[in-house]
Amino acid sequence: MAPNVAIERVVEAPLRVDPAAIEGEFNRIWKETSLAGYDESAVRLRVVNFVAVGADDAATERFERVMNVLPEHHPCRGVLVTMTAGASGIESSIYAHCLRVDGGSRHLCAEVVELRGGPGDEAALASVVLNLLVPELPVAVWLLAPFEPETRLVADLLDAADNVFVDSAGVPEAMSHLERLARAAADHEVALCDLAWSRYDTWRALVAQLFDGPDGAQRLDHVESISVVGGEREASTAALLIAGWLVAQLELQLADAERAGGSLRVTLYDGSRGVRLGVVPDTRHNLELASVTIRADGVDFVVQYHAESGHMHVREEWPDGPVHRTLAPTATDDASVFAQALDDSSGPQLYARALAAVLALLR
Amino acid sequence: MTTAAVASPNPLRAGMRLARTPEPCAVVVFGATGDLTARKLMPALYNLARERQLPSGFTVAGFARRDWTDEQFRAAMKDAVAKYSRTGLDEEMWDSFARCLHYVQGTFDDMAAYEALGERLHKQDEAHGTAGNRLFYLATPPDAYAMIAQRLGEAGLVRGGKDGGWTRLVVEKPFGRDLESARQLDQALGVVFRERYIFRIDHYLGKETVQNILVFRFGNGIFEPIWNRRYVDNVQVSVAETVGIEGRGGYYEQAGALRDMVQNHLLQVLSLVAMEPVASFRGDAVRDEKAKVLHAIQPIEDVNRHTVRGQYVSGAVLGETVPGYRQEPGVDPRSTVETFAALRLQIENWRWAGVPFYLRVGKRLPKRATEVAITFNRPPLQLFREMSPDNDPTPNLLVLRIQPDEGISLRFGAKVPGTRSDVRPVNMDFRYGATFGASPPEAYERLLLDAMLGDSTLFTRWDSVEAAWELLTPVLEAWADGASPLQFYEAGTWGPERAREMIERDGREWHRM
Repeated sequence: MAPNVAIERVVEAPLRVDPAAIEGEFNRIWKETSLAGYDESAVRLRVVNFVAVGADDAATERFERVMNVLPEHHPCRGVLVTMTAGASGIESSIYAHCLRVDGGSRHLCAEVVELRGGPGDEAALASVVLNLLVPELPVAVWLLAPFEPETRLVADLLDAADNVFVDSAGVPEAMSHLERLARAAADHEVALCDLAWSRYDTWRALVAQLFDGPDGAQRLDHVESISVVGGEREASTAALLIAGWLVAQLELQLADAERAGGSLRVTLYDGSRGVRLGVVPDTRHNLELASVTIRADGVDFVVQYHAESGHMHVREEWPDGPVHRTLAPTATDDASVFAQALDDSSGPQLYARALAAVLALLR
Repeated sequence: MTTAAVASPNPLRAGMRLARTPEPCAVVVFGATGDLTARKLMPALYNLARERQLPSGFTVAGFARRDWTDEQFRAAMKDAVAKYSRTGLDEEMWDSFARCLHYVQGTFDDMAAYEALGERLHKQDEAHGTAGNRLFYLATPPDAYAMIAQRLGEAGLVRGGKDGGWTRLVVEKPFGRDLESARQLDQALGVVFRERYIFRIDHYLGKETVQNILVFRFGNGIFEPIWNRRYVDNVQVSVAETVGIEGRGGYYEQAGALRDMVQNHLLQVLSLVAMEPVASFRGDAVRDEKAKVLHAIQPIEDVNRHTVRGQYVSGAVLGETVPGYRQEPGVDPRSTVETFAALRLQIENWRWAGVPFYLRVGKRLPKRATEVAITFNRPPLQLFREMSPDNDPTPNLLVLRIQPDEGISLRFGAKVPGTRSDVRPVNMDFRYGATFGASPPEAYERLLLDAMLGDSTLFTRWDSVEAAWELLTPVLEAWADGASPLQFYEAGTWGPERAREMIERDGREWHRM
């Protein structure tokens, strides 16, 4: 049964920065929700602590867009920390979301605290955030800006986190930034997740699906070339990560690499023969990821985004004719991606392998 | 629950969450123009395609008597998907999916039609890469099962494609109408298909909340230690429906509540609730344990005392006046077919000896609900007797709600705030819709996918079917001889008074749904 779910904001209040006061206020909201004319007690649902760190209003807007939807899948305690250069002193506000199921009972499904401070408030902000985490629940930290892992706030959050999320799409020098974050995540024993990677889960599933079946693995032993298209003026992070994933999963060894005009052209070695890899920008539509083509045994296996229709096309170009499927696109907004990624425990390991492969190619 | 049944050699699948894509295959639906295909099967296949869970080499061949072309079949299926799919219809995706749909016209006994089907499937192997793998789905009346299986064998279609491949058979309930007919059907299918390739579908087992019974029991450490005769007073499995027979008078007159619901759905749920833990979900482990439970149920010797059958008469349900069963279209005005059944069962094994299991199913009851209710023993010392309502402390109750409001609730006693020490029962509630939000797949999506994967965990094995008929056939025979006479109950009530008397004789009462 598909629940008829509506999420509504119930209370918003500025508060002095006192974790005990904030908890008290949430308890009051919960109690009020129960009494607000409904015949059932409101249930308080929390399955994760979701902490975001941003640096500007755009980060706040992005966080709030996620919090408008995410609790439908992951009821949570949300904390946003915004550090802006001009700010002095810490401010906070709280609000809560209720989820109404089938027009009936209400569930308090998101308790959100927004904290704002300046660069000098890092230690204080970190102490407040750590105090607000609900015990015994996993902690997911979303770094909304390319923060340095060595800073106090980020280091403290890395210590508390189970997963750290970043979005490397559009970040300048993304790979070197990711490399440092990955190192820091490993030091803190935290799983690093990249939305630019999670956004394209479906692509990887479709590419893998082309090689299911009894002959699939054999075909992968005869890969001749791989082409990944994506990015505006240079190959995008998403395209590079898909390429890295293929290189890692197929256990291809680097023989030669060349970067030119925003493209990456690599010769790989699979133990018996050479495999050509090209990662090039999408000059036509400037898509983050436009197509993945694997040529094996003289057959092209293609997964492609069709910009005009907004659908995915999966194609196999056999000598006696193509086999072609059209599939509905998946949602790639932040909230949808988080809804998947928060449940994907194997994602970070796969991502780490792909990232390591990309870094090796770029070096 | 079930893990990936087929180890994939595909290195691109390694470490990936969605590892359950079947091998390329053709699904052949017998009865392709029927209601089940339109309402359930085609929407399920379409949604699997939409969720990218079908293999790239995939086709559907519809087989039925109507003189349709491929195009007519596709048009009818498009209408069905638009009407019944939980995700609606995406035109562009449909156009791509529809290219996989084909139609073969023929009657179920027409050998030439099976040969034509074979030719068509060979062509699809070449054009769509379906690799000779076949899933035959019998969405037909049960009396056609044996004939279709026989013809498939005679036409050489159970050997897969020209280069081999697997073949599996999916059959719908009812599997026989008593022990004898079930055995005959099993023998007829067994001539052509080995047991491991027969998938008897019980759509209840495809429901998320039914599967969650195993997760709840064996994925948590706190419940299993108290899941036995030392702590459980009684277990009730109830299926209440507000609907009547919905125009299926012809079918229901031959079936009745015991055959239609108890023999399959209720006993399957009961076996999941009562089974022993498995060491893994590999192979037949779950089905072995379920079968042991059914074999451990004691035969019902006192049918008068431990069974109740009822039939609804005119009344009001959900604010509307409804006719009695005998006034329904297609029903004999003197029919004695039961629309309500209640049974008291006893599982004689180490875990459950002495704990009664009550089953209850009925049509035209006041509300729609399917629940398993487990009542626990009271504490050995009644310290708070006088502080409890009616001086009778309410026992702890765990309710697994299967539909419609899927969830779990636990009732326990709590002190009422104040200077007095009054105790009041309160409910702790978990609701799927609220916690997980996302809409779960339809039962048929899960079961079709499992059948394509060759994972039979959620399908009913013959020994379970046989055990269920061994238990219930004597009841049907006793009823036919007049035991536990038919009771009438007003539509919109909770069934005949005798059902209440049956459980009250044990000093218990039905869980309030």
